[in-house]
This record gives sequence, C-alpha cells and structure tokens, in this order.
Amino acid sequence: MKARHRNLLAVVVLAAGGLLRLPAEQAITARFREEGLLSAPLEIGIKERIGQNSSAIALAGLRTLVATFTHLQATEAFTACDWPEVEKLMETTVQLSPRGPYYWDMGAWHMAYNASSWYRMDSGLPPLRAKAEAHRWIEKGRNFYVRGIANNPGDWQLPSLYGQLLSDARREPDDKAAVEAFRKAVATGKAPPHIHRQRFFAEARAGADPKEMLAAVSSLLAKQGNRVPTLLCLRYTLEYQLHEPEDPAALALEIFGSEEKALRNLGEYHVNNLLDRMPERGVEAAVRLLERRRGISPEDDKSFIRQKEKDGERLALDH
Amino acid sequence: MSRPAPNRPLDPRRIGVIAMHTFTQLVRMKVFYFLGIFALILLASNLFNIQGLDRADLEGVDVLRSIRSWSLGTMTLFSVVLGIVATALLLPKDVEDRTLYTILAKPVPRLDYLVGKLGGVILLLFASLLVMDLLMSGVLALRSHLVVEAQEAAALKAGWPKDQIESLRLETLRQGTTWDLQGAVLLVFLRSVVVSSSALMLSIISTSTLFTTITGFIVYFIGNFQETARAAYFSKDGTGPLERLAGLVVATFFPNFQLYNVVDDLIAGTTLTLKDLSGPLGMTAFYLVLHLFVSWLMFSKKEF
Repeated sequence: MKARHRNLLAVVVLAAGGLLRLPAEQAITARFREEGLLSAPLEIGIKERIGQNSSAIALAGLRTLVATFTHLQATEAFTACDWPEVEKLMETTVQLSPRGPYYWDMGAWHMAYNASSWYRMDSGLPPLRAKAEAHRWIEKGRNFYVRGIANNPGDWQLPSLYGQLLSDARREPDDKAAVEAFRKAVATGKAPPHIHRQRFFAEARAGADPKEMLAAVSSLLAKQGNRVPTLLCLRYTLEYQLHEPEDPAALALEIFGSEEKALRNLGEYHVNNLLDRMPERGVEAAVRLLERRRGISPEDDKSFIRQKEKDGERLALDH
Repeated sequence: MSRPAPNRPLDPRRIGVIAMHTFTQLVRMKVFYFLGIFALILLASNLFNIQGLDRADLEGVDVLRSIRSWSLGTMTLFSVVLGIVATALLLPKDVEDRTLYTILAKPVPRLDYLVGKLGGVILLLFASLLVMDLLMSGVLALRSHLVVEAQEAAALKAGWPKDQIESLRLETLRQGTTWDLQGAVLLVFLRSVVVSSSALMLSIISTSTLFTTITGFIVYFIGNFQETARAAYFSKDGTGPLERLAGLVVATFFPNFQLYNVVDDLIAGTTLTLKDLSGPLGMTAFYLVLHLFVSWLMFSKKEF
C-alpha cells in the first residue's frame, strides 16, 4: 500500500474510532453529571466576567484554580467591605466550582452575616434604609445557600448551615424553614449527631408539641454522647411545661445530678437564651431558687439573673 | 543451526529498551527542573491564609484548599506541557542525531519504535507526577494536622461539644490527603497520556517540533470544547447542517479532554469510587491504542 493510501486509511481509522467512542463518552459524561462529578460547561457570561486569560485557563481543565483566584479577589473585596463586588466574585467562584459546600458557604456567609451586619451597623445609612439593606443582604445569603443546596444534593453541611442562618436571632429567624433545612441535612444520612440535635432545637423553637418533644429528648439523651447541657435544659423545661413541679430545684437535681451542675447549665441556658430563643418556662424560677440556696443575690454580678439583664441591655443598645 | 528470532512487532524487551533510552534521553534534557518550580508553587500555596473570620470551621481550611487546587492545577499544566513538548521533541531529535536511521536500519519494527518512544514519555510523566504527588501529599498531611489542631483549639474556645469537634475534624481531614486526591492525580496522568499520544500522531505528520507543539496545544484546547461540539451535533433544533457537521468533526477527530475535568470537582470535595475511574481508564486505553495505530499507519512507510 502506498504511503498516501496509508495516510488516507489513517484518517478513516481516526474517524471510525471517533464515531465508535462517541456514544461511550456521552454515556460516561451523562453518568458523571448525574453523580455530580462533572460540572456544567462554563456559561458565556462567566467567560466574559473572568476575562480572556482566565477563561482560557478555566477551559484548559483548570476551573478550580481560577476559582481559587476569584475567591482570593472576593476576600480582598470583603476586607474593603465592597459587598457588591464580593457578591459578584463569589457568584463567579461558584459558577467555576459549583461542587462542594465551601464556596457556597463562604458566599452566603459573607452576604447574610458580614454584609448585613455592616449595612445595619457601619454603613452610616439612615436607620430605615440600613435595616432594609441588611434585610436585602440576608435574603441574598439565604438564596445563595438555597442554590448551593440545589447544586450539592446529598450534602449535609449546606442545609445545616442554612438552618443555622434561619435560626439566627439577629437575622430575621424563620423557625419553620429552619426545621425543614435541618431535616434535609439529617435526611442525607451523613449528618453527625450535633446536627440531629440542632434539628431538634429548631423544632423546639418552632413550637412543636411538648409531649412529643419530651419523648424525643428522652430518646436522644439515652445516648451518652448526646447528654449536652442544652438538651438537659430542654428536658427540664419540657417536664416543667407538662407537669409544673412544686419544687423546681428538685426536678433540676433529678435531671442534672447535682445542684452545682444544674445551676451552671440552667444559668448559661437562661443567659444564652436571649439569642437562642429556646423554650424556657421554669428555667428562671429554678435559677433563682438554686442561687438563693447558694447565697447569691439576683443583684450580684455572679448571678445569672443579673448577667441576663446586663446582656439584654447591651443587646438592646446594639439594635 | 539455530534460526534468527523472527522480527515480530510488540516485543516487550525491545520496547522496554527503547522506552528506557527515551526516558534517559529526556531526563538528560533536564526536564525535571520544573519540579523546583512545583515546589515553589507548593510553598507559596502553603503560605496563604486568607481567612481570619472567627469561625472555628473555617480556621485554616482555605490553606488546604489552596494547596490541593494549586498543586493539582500545576500538575495538570506541567503534565500537559511536558506531554506535548517531550513527544514533539522525540522524532526531530532522533532525525537530527541520526539515531533514527541507525534504529530503523536494524530489525526493529516501526511499531515497536513508536510504542517505545511513547512509553518513555509516559514513564517520564509518571515519574514526574509521582514526585509531585509525594510532595503534595506530604505537605497536605502536615498542614491538615496543623489545621485540625487550630480548629480544635478554636472550637474548644467557642464551647463546641465533643461530637461536633470530632465531626469538624473528620470534615477537615477530608480536605487533606485522601484516596480521592490520589484518584485526581491518576486522572491528571491519564489526561497527559492522551495528550502525548495525540502529539505523537501530530509529530509524524510534521516532524517539526514547533509545529507539533503548537498544534498539540490547539488540539488540547479544542478537546476541552468537546461539550460545545457535541451539543451542536446532538442538538435537534436551532442548529444548521454545517454546524452539526463541524460538531461531528470535532467530536470524532479530537480527544475529549472534558472527561478528565472530574479533577475540578474532586478538588472541591466530591468523592470518587473505583467504578468512576473505570470510564476514564477505559477511554484512555482506547485513545492510546487508536492513536498508536494511526501513528503506525502513517509512520510505517514514511521515508526520512
């Protein structure tokens, strides 16, 4: 066979090989997309935003590397409190690297926590405008989490972080939505025990039936690793709600094991509840009683009652 | 009287000699200097600590991400450049040194020569990626240990419960040296194998280093646009016949490098199973055989 014919045959073989592999590659690509191993191709808008050079790099199989740079730029913008720029750069970053919770969390966190706080407290805008801006950035952050969750199905971190945002007393909490977010995190089957507890706390905040809650608390507390102060305090307050005791201190002693531990845990719960917004019926009564027994007056600086008053005043000033 | 051994192609010993010679030849060209640059990049990525954000779970985790991202990015870049340039150098260098004439004058099948030459480049790519992988894994293991310590301290200070700290530790270690990361390095290697075998085909058409290098990079970039080409070909409406034909030409003649972009999502934290690797492994083997066969078809009667 002449060299020219062999070259022609080479072209035919290359084309035939190409046609042969086409369906196999389509199937692998489709499977990878389905499993979240392969991101969607870059949109034209993103290519324009990241510029020609970065776009070429990103197209050469280095998307994550470009995402690292855009994230670095976003951090610079965050340091300068240039929030619209932070938003733009985080949008670009997540478009380049949509898998994995990190960038979604960072973007949402910058918007819902950092930007909203800055607009509320440091922007120098008139109070109403500042409040409206803070609200707008909280919404942006929530939306970012929602998109992150949609892009990372099966991930437990983003729904739980979203649930934490929705439960945040300083960021217009939405308890019912928080319960849904935590349920989603738990439903992945990968969430660690503290997320199960957080779901439970969210349900408590949303006003779930105390009887059902108490049954659930008891089953959670059956596991040694779950015997954390908040859960013990929740058991106390639920028991109090269902059967108000004549002696709250005795109930506390039964749950916590010692008066000292009961005072420490219930006291912290009482103070932190300014922001935690958990059920707290009977907690103040027990703290007062236990403090009186230890000779601590409610006006004393050591008193949890006094501490809560002081924190309440400080938080009122913040708002 | 014993008869001389038949001059059968694909003799492993013969291929091994050519491959080792090619490997030594490339090493003598001081290509391993780039490992110094890799070490510098690794060091630079290790110095980044962009966050001081008062969140225990973010304490230092950005450093781990930057080490993974920069290292794998640099590995991709170096392996592609090395795959194209080293392959582009092979034939012209042998012609220039006249070693090609010496080899081909001997009873060495041309297929063995090609397989051996490509084998040498692949060996070089493997050795380079192995060294880079060891460096990256070592730095990541060390750094993730430090990050975990910092996070635990921050979490304890913030009063996190034990199980929450433990889950944070496990999540952070997932950003360190994992099997998924080794899978990503394997994918980088597989991509560079396909890049090299494509460059081998091009080098037979041209025997000019510059032409092969430039077209090699063009082929690589086009190979990353496969998604667009396939979309044009498979699209049912809104696409003209010419566009569809162009899409088909690109989809059939150019390798699909997008398959290997799984690396991007692995850096981001996606998990990979052995079953997932079988697709790219199979496709790489297919490309390797196809490109070698096509190269042999063009090379077997080529006159020098």
